[in-house]
Amino acid sequence: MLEEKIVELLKDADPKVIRVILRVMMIEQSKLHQEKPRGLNLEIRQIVEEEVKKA
Amino acid sequence: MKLDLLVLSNFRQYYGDQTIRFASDPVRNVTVINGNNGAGKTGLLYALNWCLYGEKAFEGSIGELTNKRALAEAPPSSEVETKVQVRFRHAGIRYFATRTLTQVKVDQNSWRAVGKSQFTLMRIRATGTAEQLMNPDAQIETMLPSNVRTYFFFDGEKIDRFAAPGHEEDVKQAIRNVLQIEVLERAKKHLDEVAKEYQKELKALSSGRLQDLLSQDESLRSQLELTKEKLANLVKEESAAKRLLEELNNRIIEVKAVQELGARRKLLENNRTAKESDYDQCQLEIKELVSQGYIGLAGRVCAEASAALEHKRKHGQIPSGVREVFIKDLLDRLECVCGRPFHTHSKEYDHLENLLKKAVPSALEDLVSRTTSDLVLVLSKGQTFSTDLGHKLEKRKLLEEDFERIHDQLEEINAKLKDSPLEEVIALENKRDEVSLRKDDLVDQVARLRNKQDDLQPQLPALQKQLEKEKHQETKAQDVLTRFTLARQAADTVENIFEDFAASMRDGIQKEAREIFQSLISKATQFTDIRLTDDYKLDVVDRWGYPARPEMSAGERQVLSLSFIAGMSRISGMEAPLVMDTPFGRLHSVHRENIVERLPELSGQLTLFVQDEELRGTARKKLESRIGVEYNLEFDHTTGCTRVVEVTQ
Repeated sequence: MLEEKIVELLKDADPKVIRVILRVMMIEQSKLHQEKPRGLNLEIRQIVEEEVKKA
Repeated sequence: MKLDLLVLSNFRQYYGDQTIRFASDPVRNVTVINGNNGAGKTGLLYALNWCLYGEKAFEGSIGELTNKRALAEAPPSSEVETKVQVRFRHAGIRYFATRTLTQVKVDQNSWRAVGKSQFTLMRIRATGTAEQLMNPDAQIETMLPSNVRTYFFFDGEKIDRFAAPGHEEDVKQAIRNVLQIEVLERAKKHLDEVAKEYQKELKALSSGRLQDLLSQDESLRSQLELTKEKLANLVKEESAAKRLLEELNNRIIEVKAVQELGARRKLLENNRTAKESDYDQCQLEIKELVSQGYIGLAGRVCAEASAALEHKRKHGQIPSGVREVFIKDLLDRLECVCGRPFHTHSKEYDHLENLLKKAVPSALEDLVSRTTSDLVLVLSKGQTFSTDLGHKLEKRKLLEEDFERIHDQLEEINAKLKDSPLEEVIALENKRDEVSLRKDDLVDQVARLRNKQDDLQPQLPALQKQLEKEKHQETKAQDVLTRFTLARQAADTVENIFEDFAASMRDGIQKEAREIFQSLISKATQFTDIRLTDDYKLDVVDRWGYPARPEMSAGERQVLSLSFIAGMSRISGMEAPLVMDTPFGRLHSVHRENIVERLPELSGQLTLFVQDEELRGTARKKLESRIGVEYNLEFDHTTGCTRVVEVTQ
């Protein structure tokens, strides 16, 4: 439901941007219990690079 | 998440294995667990939290986790295992979560844990096989995040904290956690960090040098093009001047009176052109010869080295050229060079062996031989160098003298022709001088332009190489720019939707909580509205439109908090069971009845840990039709342990 609401708010955004945000949110969700998650920025870079390649 | 089974093994006051099966029927979705004070209701709440989230689920100490009877009965040095298993379903898939802690009994009164507790999470396939999942903590976080668990597994007596004065921060934190606002905030923060990283890389990659090199390349190419164009025109003009000069020469020759002079001049000029070619060739040869001048200078040194080698050879310091291989061959074959055989230990054999000792090793012999022949070559070249150079210089001098002579003769002819009594000849000669001057000027200009072209031309490949390098950098920068743009857009978009999302969530919770509160509160006409302000203050408005929360009783605040939690749960859409420990202790009977009637429909699965007094009379009757399974916690005073006993109808 929350994801649906977020997707609804993102409806005018570039699909690439939407995919990046949702994928980053999934990682953030799984690492919420870690205050300073190690390697998170590297994972986000990987997502960004994959989405750039897809485009 | 929907709970199926809870199995406790030697956990706190639960000795041995104790099992609770949770109600999972859509209508009869309530599990009731009855227990008096100290029977172990809170222990069950701890068991759920410990299994899924480990020790971090508890802020302070919760005492010994391992059952003390099991520890007491265990022989010294033996191990006692404490285990809690939660079987549940999430998004239609079955999981078994198990946490174990092993303790070693040191002596009758002490024990120690073997490492930390171990957590495993198994996904149970439809075929019945189990698959152990990697990183089980992260998996649980995605199903029911640790920071929201307290809104689903909670102590009912402490629930009123959301409605208590000065607890705005709790409300704010609850909304942030349950509604993924924290997830959005962290996503924004980390996307921002990544965008900044890309920006830094971009700065390092784009130096603006490419632009500069492109300008240089453009300018060089345009200069070269202009030079070539000018050169082509001048070469044309030069050819035309030469043709005109030739034509004027021929016309002078056609004039009978000066025919001989004209023809001779032409011959001299042709002769001079041919000699110029010889002169150029001679210059080239001298240049090449001089570039090998070291041979001439090395002559003396080479002669000394050659003499030194010869001296050493004569004095046996470099043995004669008897080869090691040659002697070895004779010894192997036991045959003299003349074909006569000999035996080992014979005179001949001993002689050859002596020779072998003096023989030069092949490598040294080869080296001496090569050096000697090189020295001879350098010496012979050195001797011819001086002679050759002398000849070339002599030839050049002769050619220079020829030029002088031809020049004088031409000057003489030119003077005679200019002094001619014939006007036609004078006019032709004047014209010839003019064209000749122009031609010389053109030759000079062409030569200078050719030099310029020769200077410019090699600059192009060098520049091209630099450009390729910079373009590669630029391509890399372009890639980083694309990534930076995407990361920046994502971070900005999250920021843009953040406020709208938070406001929408606040409105949704307010609406849901209002509706639930109205159905639960006994004084619905007194407390008419619930408000959740922008700064997350949860308030109640009375019939006159004034804030009324400070006037509420503890029970009413509990109802307000419960309404808020239920509203939040509904809006989040989070599939989570509601597990409440002693939820009705402080509630008025009307509130209790309202809640038991309403609560089963607000949550997909409800588990209540209650005391006898909490669920009696009308409240019990109202809940009866929703109870799927019921247990009693029976505390044994003799053993200090609790048994879980299912209540059968």
